[in-house]
Amino acid sequence: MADNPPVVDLRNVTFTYPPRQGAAPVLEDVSLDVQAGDFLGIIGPNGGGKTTLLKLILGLLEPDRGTVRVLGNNPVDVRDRIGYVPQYSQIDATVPANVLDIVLTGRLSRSSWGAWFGRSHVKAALAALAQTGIEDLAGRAIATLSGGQRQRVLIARALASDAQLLLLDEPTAGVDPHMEENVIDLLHQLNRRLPIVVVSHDVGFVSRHLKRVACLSRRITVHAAEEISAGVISEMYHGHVRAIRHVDECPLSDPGCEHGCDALAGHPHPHPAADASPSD
Amino acid sequence: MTQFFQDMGHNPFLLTGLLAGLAASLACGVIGPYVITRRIVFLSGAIAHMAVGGVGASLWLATMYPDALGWFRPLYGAIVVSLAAAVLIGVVHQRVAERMDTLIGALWAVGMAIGLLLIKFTPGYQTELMSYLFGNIAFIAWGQVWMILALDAIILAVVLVFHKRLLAICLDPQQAEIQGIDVLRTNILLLCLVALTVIALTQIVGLILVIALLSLPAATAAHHVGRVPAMMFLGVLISALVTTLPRIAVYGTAVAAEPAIVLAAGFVYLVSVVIRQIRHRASRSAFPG
Repeated sequence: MADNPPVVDLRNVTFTYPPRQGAAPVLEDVSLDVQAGDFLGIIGPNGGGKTTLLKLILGLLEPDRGTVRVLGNNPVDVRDRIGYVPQYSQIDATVPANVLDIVLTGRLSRSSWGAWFGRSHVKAALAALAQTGIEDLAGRAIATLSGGQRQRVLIARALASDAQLLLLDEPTAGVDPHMEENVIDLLHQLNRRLPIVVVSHDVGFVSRHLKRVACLSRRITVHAAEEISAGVISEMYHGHVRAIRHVDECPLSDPGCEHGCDALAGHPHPHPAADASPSD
Repeated sequence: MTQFFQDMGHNPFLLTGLLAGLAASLACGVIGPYVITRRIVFLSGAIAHMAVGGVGASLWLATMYPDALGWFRPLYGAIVVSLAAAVLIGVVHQRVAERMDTLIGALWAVGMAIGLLLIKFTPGYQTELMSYLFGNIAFIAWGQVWMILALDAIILAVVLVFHKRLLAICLDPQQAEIQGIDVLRTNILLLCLVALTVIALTQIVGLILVIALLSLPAATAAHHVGRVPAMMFLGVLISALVTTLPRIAVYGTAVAAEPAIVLAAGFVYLVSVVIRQIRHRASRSAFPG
């Protein structure tokens, strides 16, 4: 029972990218609310408006119709309290900055003048790195990190700004399934004190781990995670969809296979029967 | 080569040439890392070439209206136009996503063409234009050395105040925007700093070749250090060596000093690339399999 105002409150939002004459709207009459403690996934086809929705929540775009309210305010005014985590590939790995430098940019709204960050800001950045478990990577160059580590750097950057809401854009894209589990564990931990919104193509991941799922394809419908069925998904994606069956025993998802199997050599590894339900 | 030091006793221009090179090294060492990280080498070249238009326009105006505008030296025209170019290019860069490459190229060429056109109407000033185009390190007056030092002071002061913002737009402009930084204004500020650095380097290597010193020392430094402050320090060092040693080395020969400086910068960069490749191969072979 939420008497508090929602963290994110979109009402009847319609948005079209310019030039607007005759163009179909990217978002049409979209209403969505995110409450404290929420763990919401947004799925849908490319061009369905997922990234546009994130930008509207961040105040980088303004709706043509309808209203967007974040933490009770105009999104632009509270932008520095929203932790936005883009795909890790957005960070150019050749930039002359180490992990700490990247995370410190999350403190810019508090300290943008001058040439260096004060001790309190460095401490906050290191604390954020500790929360994501990569404190020991603070001095490393981005180029030397794996995809999963870079993803954590961006999550730490979002946390460093004392975010009250986390928005993640495709956090598991390009991350191998083993790392994906770690990211999911981290998000669950963070969800204990932060509402989280995740945009993802990985329908299986979203419906398995998140509390609510919003299906967005110009228009939006919100389901509890268990309700997502193959019918809903294929309707959304207009056609046959192969869900990624995350079978835990598959050697490709666990590089440290305890049987000592060499997956590359094709050594047979026992799998559960194809139509058995996945164990949880 | 030793002739250089012997002649320094009776030719004051030899000293001012060295000092001007050292002074300009400060500017290009400090600004270079931003230029290569933000990938605005092309935009910087456009600013430099549009400044030629400013030089030509000043010479033409001063000749046409000697009473009213005789005081308007080509240097002022270069400063005004390069700063205006910085603002224009900054706005275009932000507002016009597609065809930006073409637009900047057009500004580059048209700006320079205007300068060359106007110089035809001011006979007798060809050599002066040449010294702006190709540099003139052999005849730098003390006043110019002070001017470069003044530009250094302005650039350093601005960098000390704005470094975090400048770095933010170089690392991730979207994140900078989310953190409340005005990306357009900071971009324009950076381009204005580039414009001032271009002016500082004009006499040393000429407007045509300025981008070599804006990018090569910083790119060389980037091979060996991983953060911007260290890149600035190393960049200043490399620029200082490259703007002074070649000058001394070719003194008395038929080789012109200004291109020698640029060639030295290029050579140092290539050697650095080779060293990096060797280091890379060595570390790979240390971990077999």
